[in-house]
Amino acid sequence: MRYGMVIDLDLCVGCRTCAVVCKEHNAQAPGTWWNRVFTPGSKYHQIPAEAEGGFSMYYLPVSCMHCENAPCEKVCPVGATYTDERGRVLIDYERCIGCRYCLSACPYGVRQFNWEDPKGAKARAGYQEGYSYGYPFPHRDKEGRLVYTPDRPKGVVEKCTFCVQYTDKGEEPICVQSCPAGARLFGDLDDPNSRINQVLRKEKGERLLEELGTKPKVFYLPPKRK
Amino acid sequence: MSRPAPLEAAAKFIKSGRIEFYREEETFRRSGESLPTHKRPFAESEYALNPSVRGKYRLAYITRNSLYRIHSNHSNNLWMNELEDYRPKVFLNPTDAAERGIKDGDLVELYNDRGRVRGQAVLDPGQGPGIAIFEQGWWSRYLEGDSYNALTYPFIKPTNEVYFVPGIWAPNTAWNEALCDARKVGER
Ligand code: SF4
Repeated sequence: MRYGMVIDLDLCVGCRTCAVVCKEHNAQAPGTWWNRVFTPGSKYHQIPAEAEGGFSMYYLPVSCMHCENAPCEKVCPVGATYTDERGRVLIDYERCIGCRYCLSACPYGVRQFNWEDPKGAKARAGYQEGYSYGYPFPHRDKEGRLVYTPDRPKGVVEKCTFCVQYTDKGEEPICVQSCPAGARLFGDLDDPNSRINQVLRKEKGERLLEELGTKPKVFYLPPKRK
Repeated sequence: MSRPAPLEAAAKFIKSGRIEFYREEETFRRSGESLPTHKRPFAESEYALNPSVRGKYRLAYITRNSLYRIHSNHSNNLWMNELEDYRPKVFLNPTDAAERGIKDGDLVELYNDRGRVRGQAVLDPGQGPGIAIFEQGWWSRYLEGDSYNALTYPFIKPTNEVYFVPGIWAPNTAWNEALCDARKVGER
């Protein structure tokens, strides 16, 4: 099994719901966003960019690409970042030593570092004491590696896991479940009959920075109308 | 399937119970609006109220809804504020901005005789000229104590007063019937 995602940029309305639910369900501290939605060519979200013959405005959601050939995994000196049997690129929060090699290796800029204890970050931002959000339980893989926990310790790197705590139970990642435009599809790239493979046979999916040879498992259907 | 509202229910608002393109009430006749009519913006509002603002304030002041709030709910929502860099913004057409020496990211003030509000200039090439947009709902604590509604005023269109259904349908201020102008007050 090899999980992958297809995002149809003609359907994405740039609402950023996926970014917010990702932050919520995966208990991201203030300032941390695993999933971001950009307006390509424009400094501001939902402001058109000047383009050939007029303007262009479409939206690009970006989170971990779960690369087949993941640069972050290669540079990790302690094997904390690994690809699991379902193709998810994960981080063992108990093994990460916080060297941040992966942060500079990732060409997509999606990895984020816990400079401080998230509880401290929340208190500083003004959250009420004891207020917490997100999937509340730690989650371990078959070998016992800690791949999700609501408050990641100070000094570890974190990023999108394709919602390992949900996909392990057969549910879809929360961004896919909650996208109001139905722009996101999730499934098994190894299964020729999966919905994403059916779509990818019909339409050419593009991957970000394909020329680097990272082989992302997140595919974009480019907008026909920019 | 959606069906039209029952006639009796709709007749509480509109006598015939259906959309009326011809209205013969005295107020409509007096204002020349018995049939749908285009009227020059501000002729019966700002300019009628104070003729001296003609040419003095050259931008239509529009307070639109923000992606990050429901009106003013969530104005203090940290995540929403992170998504827009904690910065209230003033949206201008690039030509209007250039005329006033305003560059992208400048701190800009929208003002008229009634008040002012400040934000960071965002130049939107897709926005029509002659319009200044401020996103409604920002609490004044994010606006140095100002309010975006300091620029508006209680202009009620007389034809809005023809029907009054308590708690449901009441004449309301025409929020977007206000003039303003923009000036740079600081660099980013
Ligand atoms: S939730 Fe869906 S439509 Fe909204 S920004 Fe994300 S991908 Fe686009």
